[in-house]
Amino acid sequence: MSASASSLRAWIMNPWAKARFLWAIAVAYVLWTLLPVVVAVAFSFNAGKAQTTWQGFSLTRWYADDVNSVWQNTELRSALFQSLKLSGLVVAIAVPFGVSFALALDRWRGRTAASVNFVMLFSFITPEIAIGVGLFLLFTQAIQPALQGFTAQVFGLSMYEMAYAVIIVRARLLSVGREYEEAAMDLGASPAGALRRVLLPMLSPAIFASVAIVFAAAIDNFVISQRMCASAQCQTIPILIYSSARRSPLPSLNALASITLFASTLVIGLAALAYKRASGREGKKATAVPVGL
Amino acid sequence: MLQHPKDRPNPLSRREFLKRTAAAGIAIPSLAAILAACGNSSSTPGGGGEPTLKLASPDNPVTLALTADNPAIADGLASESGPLKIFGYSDYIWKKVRNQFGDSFGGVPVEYTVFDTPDEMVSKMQTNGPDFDLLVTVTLDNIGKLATGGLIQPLNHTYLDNVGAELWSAIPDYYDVGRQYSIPYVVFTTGIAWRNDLISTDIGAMDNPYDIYWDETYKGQAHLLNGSRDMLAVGLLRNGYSPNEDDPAIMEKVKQDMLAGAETMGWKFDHVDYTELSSSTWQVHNTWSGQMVYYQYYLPKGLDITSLSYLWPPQGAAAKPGLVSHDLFAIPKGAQNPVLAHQMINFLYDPANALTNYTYEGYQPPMNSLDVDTAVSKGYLPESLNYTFITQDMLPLGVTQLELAPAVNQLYQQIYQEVTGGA
Amino acid sequence: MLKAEPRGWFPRWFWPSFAGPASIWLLLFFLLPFYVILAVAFGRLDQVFLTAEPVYNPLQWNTGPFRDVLGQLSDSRSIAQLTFVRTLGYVGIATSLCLVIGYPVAYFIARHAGRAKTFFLVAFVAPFWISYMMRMFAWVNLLQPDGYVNRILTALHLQSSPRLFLNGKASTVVMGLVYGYVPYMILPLYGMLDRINRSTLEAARDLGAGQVKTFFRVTLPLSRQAILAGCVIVALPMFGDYFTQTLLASTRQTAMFGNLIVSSIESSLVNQGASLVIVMLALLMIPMIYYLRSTKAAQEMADR
Repeated sequence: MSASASSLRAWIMNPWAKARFLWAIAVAYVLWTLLPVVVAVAFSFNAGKAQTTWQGFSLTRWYADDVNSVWQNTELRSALFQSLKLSGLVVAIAVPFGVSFALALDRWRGRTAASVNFVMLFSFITPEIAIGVGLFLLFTQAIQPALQGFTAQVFGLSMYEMAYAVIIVRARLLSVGREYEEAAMDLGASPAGALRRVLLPMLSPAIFASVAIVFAAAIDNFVISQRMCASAQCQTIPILIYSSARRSPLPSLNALASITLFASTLVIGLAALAYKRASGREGKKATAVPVGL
Repeated sequence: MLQHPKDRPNPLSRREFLKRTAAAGIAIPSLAAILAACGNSSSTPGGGGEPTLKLASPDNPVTLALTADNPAIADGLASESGPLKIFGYSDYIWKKVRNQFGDSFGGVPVEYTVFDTPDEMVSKMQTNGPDFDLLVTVTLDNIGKLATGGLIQPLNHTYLDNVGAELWSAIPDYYDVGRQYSIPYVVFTTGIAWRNDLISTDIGAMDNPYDIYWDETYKGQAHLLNGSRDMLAVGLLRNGYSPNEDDPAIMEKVKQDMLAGAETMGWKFDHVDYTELSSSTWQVHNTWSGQMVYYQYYLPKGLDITSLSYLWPPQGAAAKPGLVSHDLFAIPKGAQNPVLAHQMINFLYDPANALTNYTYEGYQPPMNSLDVDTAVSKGYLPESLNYTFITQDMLPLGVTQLELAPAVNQLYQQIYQEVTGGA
Repeated sequence: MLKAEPRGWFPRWFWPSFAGPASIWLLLFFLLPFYVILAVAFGRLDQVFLTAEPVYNPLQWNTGPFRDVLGQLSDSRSIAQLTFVRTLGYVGIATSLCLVIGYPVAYFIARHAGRAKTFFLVAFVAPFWISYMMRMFAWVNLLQPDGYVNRILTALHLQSSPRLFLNGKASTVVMGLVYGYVPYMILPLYGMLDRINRSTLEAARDLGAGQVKTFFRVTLPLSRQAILAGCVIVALPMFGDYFTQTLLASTRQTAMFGNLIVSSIESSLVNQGASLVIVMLALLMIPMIYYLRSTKAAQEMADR
């Protein structure tokens, strides 16, 4: 008895064994996080209307069903396009603004710089509902109503997402020194040229990462985009899922949600590929001296 | 890379923080003042003095003012190209009928935006009125403020030929004499729906049917309607008060009653009882008469429509007061497709279209060409629920929710928030 | 430009101009809205709708409605105080659970995953790009009376009849919050744990400390900063969360502070909503500033 008990104890306390306890936790965590999503995606291919009973495989919710599939139902389709439009525009604004801001912060020393940085970080951790209410009141009380709806969503969301790009690019900038641009300018490049030919390519992995993250965050955004949107015209997918879940969930909502999943995965996959290639190239560039500028 | 210590950013000292906050504190109000001067800072469009709200009631009919800056559209205009944007309760005009309208008017797309409660509708109309072309669920207690606040436009009856012959004469117009701003859409009663297969009590025979919502046997299984007026009406009517009560002392008493009920019964507040049938989340539901007809399309396997019963309290043994009302169409001021909006109203007053709509909606239009025998014989209204059909002589039996003074309205909304927790 | 300047040949306005667009954006869409919230909370009341009209001049501010809200918050029977205290409770419990779940996972990925590291990194980053709404919606379906969770529990004989998870249970709401926010806890923890130098730990072990002792004496103190960062990144946004509760319960007994704000804004109680937002921000300001200052300090240390 005591022999097996002590050998059991030894088995548990062995410092060189693989960390079984941690492995169990990690695997359990992955299952807990991802299984509900897997089930939701699987049910988007459900043949029947039920949300909880599997009734066979079919593509009904995607395009075959006359009235309520993602393809046929105009409300679902419009939400899909709205989401993509909104995310695209937000990326187009937030990433350049964020990248240039990060560059400014890293290179510009001064008190104003620090305070603007402070405000930027503030926007990152403020509860979204506070920003949402503020933007809502701004656009309905202070600015002409014509700017509401989609335009307001773009402005508000691009402000909120800028912080991601700033943080990612800044982290990268910390490891890139100034010698390369200075060498370029010693060799005759203008400041803008040095920036374009030397610095930006070195930052491209971080820029790709920012695009991916801002896109994923924008397509998933709920609070700010819902506050800015009163009519069905500017509804995005999260808004639609939320309001339908509270009223009468359509079975094809699973299909719609799965589409956001696929879209985000695609963008992140592409960004990861671009990141790898850019890093690979940059690896070689880091050791070479820029010539012929 | 290594950085010279001179190049490292300065840490944020307290003095710097205060200095910068002070700078921001001066910059922002100035910017806002500039905005206010040249932007739109008023929330009452169509200004011109302080308009006062006249509260309508059957003894005090109100003719809503027609102002020069808010004219009706001209006669004989051509339909616009759309899309027609409708704002209403969820599923309140059958999608098939909306599509039919679109097809018969040259393929016009029809969009439908949903609101959950009349309070939300008023709130959205204030900020986004011109975004919509047709309002489909204006309750009698909101029509006055929408018109006085300049949010809706007068109707041009030359586009509404079908209405005259069809509309019930018994439907009153004291809230909008002459129907200048509104046309009735559907008529309904508010009552108690229950699963008679799960509940053995005969609610119709109870002394006070409203007590069923406080009956702890159904804890967690009783739902009330959302919306401040509808929810409070249950408490007010249970205690024998008018649904338009404005005495703060009485309101406080009713509020305590509702709070006690909310604590013990765990009420949920919604009007999607029909979608909850399949998950069996309720046995008693405060609902409207039209929902009963919806139920037959949402029955889960194994549940028959005969398992559902409805009571309108005036028709019960104790003849307690119950609500009866009708919802209105209105057209927002600044709508982009007002002609189409008028035509949609007219379309829904065509007997054939109204009947098609009724087969799914269950809310009956107050039209002369629709009667209970047609409805039942054609299978639109289940035989077991034929008593939910409303006839003109039923209207005087009920009480109606009328418009309240703004301060009282806010009091109702505050009590609603207290009882529901904003959920 | 031909003079030798200490830091290269960029003109002085070059870098600051890069901050221009973002600064304008922040000014217009972050700082200005907060001022409008103040203007609405302290503004006039419209006569027909009794909603607030903003008043931009601080000298004309009407503090009555704001004082009413403060009064409500101090009244122990009011819904305002009730939801505020409850939200503090939910956030506290959920953040602690996030830490308890997130730390071992982060530790595992940073130190023990070995060859499976990429797989686990992808798996833990995945929730960031899977829509939050979709994940919550998936749970709503799983927790229905006839959903998979109830079916599995009944099959395993852990319960005799389906439990109504979605009927206003605080545990469901807290679980939902933890589920949604735990990735944000793992992120800074992983970042810090990954950076701990292997030789530090080997030194500890060479000096005779067992695994557990190494953890408590070396790893934990080093990750203190990251734990704080993680807690702030999780707790602050969670305080304003309202949609998790609405999807998973939607009852009075589980209402959060965000629900109160949203329902005020969506009805005629707009000035009350604005006042509630001000109160929330005022209270959260302290941990926010503390976090920002300590992040700066941490950055200094990392730079050295």
